[in-house]
Amino acid sequence: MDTPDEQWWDAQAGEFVLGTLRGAERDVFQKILATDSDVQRRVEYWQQRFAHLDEQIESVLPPDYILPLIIERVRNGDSHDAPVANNTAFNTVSDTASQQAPSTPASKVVDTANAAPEHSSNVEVMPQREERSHKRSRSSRRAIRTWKTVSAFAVAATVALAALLVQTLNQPIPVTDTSLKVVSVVQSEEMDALWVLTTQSDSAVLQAVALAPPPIDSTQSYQLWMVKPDDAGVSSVGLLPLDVGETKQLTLQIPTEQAQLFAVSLEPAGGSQEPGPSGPVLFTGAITAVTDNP
Amino acid sequence: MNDVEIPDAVLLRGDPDLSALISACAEGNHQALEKLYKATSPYVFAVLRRILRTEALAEEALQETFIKIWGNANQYTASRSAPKTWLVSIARNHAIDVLRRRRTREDVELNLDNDAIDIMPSYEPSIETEIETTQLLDRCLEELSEPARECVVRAYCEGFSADELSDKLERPLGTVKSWIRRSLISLRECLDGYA
Repeated sequence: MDTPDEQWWDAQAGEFVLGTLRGAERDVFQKILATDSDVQRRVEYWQQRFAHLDEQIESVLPPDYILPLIIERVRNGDSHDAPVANNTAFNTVSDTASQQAPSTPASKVVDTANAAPEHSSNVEVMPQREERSHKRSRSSRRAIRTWKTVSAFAVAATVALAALLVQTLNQPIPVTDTSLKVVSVVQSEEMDALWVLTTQSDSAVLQAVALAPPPIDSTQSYQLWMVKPDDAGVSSVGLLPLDVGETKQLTLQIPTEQAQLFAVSLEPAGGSQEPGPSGPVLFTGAITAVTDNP
Repeated sequence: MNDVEIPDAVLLRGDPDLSALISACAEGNHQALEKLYKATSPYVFAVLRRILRTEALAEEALQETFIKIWGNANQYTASRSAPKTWLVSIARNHAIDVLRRRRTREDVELNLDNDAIDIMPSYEPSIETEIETTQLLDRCLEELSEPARECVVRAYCEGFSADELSDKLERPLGTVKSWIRRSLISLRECLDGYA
């Protein structure tokens, strides 16, 4: 509960348990919930806390006809939610949580050419999220808007969110190897979600999915940076994808733990020729750890 | 199927070993499902009735809930949640999915004025026998504003969406959403603060 982002995930989990998370938001949340241990922990927290409200209810004996129907159905092998393979140990079951999305493409080209070496120059970025005291409601609103933006992509079945969900769900390897380590949504000042960035706990690869990057001409590029805390400089990550739904894999030069946030600058095509951004820093994305996995 | 006899002792004591029954369900034991149903269905059914508000929907949901319990028993991890919490979470999720599939609750009898209030926690001092978590939740709910508390409790207990709460309480949707959101953040801080 140290950061607004954690508060947002807690509130999101709380809304899921309350039942006020509906529609595409609920669907997307359930998909993440199916594999993300941190989100699972938050949901379990609320389930346990709110269970008290169920304890006060007076039991009602159901009609006798129901049990024979259930037994008949299970004997006939009718189980809508057949046990899911060991891709989740989470205790929540829903109609959508166990649905499988299309499998991911087997390979992607890792873009290391654009990852400039680590630099130490400082960078000015837009106002950040450190002033926590009076920003909770604002942060929640922003987060909700971001979530809804992302969810809207799910509804539209865009390639962009599919890529994100593939990242979270569908790689056919043990869940301990596929746990998300970090999720970041790079946003505009108007809080529109522009790119989704994800990393895995056991990898230095960052996957960037373009959601709605503002158009630029062919002489320009968006360059992603990791900003270190305490004015310790920046580290280039690479050039971001420009087309909606486009996915690009970049290599992190430093662990996400050593960075304060992501920042995006507008650069000449091919990226900055300087140690740090040569153009304006336009967008930022908070770095949100989403798993406890070691 | 693997219908191994479940010892009566498991079922006859006041607090049946629901975890053992769920584990037996995971192994395909139909008898365990039957006993689990007998031990818990009145409670689960009551939760479903409270959310779905009609007997027919609740009865259908009860069937589906236990089919899901059967099909997903191997996902239950006793160390992570109490059996009843797990069972109710399945029932609640199914009930909410049912509500989502229905465009409106126009054919559902609504009685916002009574039922939710009936289950609103008492804000009198907790009796000694109440468990700590109960006391904590009561205390923290008490710290919320009345309308915010009402939204949280009615959303959980009766399955109302923010839109429905907005309509019924005649407050703007944004206000209701904000109440819920801020209430959750406040509750978390309060619960953690007492812990």
